[in-house]
Amino acid sequence: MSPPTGLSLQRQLLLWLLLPQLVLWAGGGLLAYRFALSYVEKGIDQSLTQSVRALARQVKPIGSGLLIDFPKAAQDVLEQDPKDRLSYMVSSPPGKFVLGNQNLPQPEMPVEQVGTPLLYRGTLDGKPLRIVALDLDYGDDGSPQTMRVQVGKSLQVQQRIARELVADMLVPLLALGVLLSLLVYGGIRRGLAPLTRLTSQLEERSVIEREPIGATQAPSEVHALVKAINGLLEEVARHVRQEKRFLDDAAHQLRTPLAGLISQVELAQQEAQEPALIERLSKVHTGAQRSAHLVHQLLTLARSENHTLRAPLDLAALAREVAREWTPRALAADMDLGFEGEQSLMVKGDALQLREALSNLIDNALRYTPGGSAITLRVERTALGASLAVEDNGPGLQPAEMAQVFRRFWRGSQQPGGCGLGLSIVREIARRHGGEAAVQAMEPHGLRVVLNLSGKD
Amino acid sequence: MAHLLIVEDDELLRDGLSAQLRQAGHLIDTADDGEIALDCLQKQAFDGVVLDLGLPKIDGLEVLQRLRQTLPALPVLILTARDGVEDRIAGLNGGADDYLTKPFNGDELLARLQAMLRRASLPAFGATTSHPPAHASGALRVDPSMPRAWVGEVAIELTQREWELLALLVRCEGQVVSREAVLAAWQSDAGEGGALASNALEVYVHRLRRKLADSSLNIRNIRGLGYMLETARP
Repeated sequence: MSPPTGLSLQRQLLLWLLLPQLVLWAGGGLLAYRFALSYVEKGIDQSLTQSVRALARQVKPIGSGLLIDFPKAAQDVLEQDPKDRLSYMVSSPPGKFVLGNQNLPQPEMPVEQVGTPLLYRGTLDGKPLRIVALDLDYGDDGSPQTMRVQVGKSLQVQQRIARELVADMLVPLLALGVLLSLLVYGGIRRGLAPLTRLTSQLEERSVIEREPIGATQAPSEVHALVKAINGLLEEVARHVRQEKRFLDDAAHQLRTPLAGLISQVELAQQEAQEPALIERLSKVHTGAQRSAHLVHQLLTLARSENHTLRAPLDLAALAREVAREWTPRALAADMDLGFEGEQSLMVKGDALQLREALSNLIDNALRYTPGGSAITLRVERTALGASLAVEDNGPGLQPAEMAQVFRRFWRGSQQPGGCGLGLSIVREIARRHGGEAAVQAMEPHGLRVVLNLSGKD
Repeated sequence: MAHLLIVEDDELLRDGLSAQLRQAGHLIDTADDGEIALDCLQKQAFDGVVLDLGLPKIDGLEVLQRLRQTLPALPVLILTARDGVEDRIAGLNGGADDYLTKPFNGDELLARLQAMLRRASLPAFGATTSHPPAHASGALRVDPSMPRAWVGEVAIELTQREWELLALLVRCEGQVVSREAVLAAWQSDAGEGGALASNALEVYVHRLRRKLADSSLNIRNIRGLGYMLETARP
């Protein structure tokens, strides 16, 4: 319908409402992960501190040596989870390996206070560890000694727990996000509905309608738009009315004097005696009639540019009705005007315009076929929808002429009366009915003008 | 001969039209605006009116409305420059008997006027007229209340259906009467009723033609469209 014009309002709103949500969601996830990591670390630190104190209690100095009472139960506590990978080391003096896992890294900074655990990070076999180191004094007053107890715990478990926490938090958040997006989408659609309604109202509208567009339930922003459009429509309608009035006035102003002229010439033709004068009057009569015909066609053309209002109608009945209206004129011209084909055929069409098209075709046939000819209106069902044809058995047209007939102001041969607008009006009307007009030659001679009308809207 | 009023504001046309109708043997009075026209119609009796629509002072359609209040049966032919179908419908709904757009062919106007005046003077189906029907030889008269008709002074015998068909054709003289219109007229007849064979109509038309052989009228078969009563050509 419209040329590319940037992102639709609906998409822009969706984008700007959902994009911040996505950023919020991603940022929140990252922060949550960080918090989870630190809380898990605190937990680990606490359990490490407990473990290191418990282990320290089991280390008992005996003379200058150390006795480590490490019962099975304590070992179980330390190694309760094989994945936790608890490692321990006892050294005395600090750094000099006595017991445990001697690869456990030493703290990079010195332990400042004896009896206070120091927590730090390190790696064991390339894996990150959280380690606690506790220095304790032992021995006699004569030979004081210091021992260091260290316990390390793999940080892999910390990361795993943090990931699980974040996942547990983010999955419901994701579901909420989807729900929120749906709500936002629905809200936008609802909010924009007045615009959609306005569009469809405008699309279905014709310029000749006078009623303003209604916007009773629309929000205030749309109200202003509707008001502006209504103003514009009123302006257009006023112009259309003016134009129609001008056409009516022009019709009256042109036709009445022409009627007078024709009437006077007809009288003069009867009164004239001299053959040369009679012939001249006959030429004047023809000229006046041609002008009258041209006026009629121009007005019809102007009117046919109005809006097409298609409604269900019986094309066959309409054709017969128009034919009956033309019968007296056909009989006066010694023509056999008849109807053949479907008795009833429903189509969607503009009755006034189809009538105009048919009248033009019958008028043409009466003009360009000699007396004694037959003119047949034919309505048939076609694959496209329906066809409406006017056939005559007159002289027809040359093939070269047939290609030209639909051009405005083109006139075939030197026949009097025509103005070359009739068929272009007919074609315009056929096109407005989703179809096309065509001319064909009749066998053995004659012309067939057919309007193919589409059954669709 | 009929006494006609021509209401037309354009002098050229009024003059030409009057002369043409006088030549055809009618008695003509003219009015150049709606006021004068209504005045004339009050003072004199006319057989018919030729009325323009775009008139000064009082518009043609209003003239028509006003004259219909006092003269419901007066035949009125509208002559107008407005040729839209809507205008035609407005004119006919307003009570006009016929409608012709300008410019027109003189012969066509005369023929239409003649048919209109004849319809008004034929006392078919309750139509009233101020003039007694002409009893000239060949003239057809149809009794509006029972199946009787005369050609000149000679009575012709008609069945109910023949009479209904003939009356319909007479009412629509000069116009094509569709088969559907005839069948509808017959169907409304409670006396005979029943479905009709599609070729029954042709049989009736054939019989009527024979009975009208001595009249000046002829029933013409219009291909695919219906039948039309017309003045027989010499």
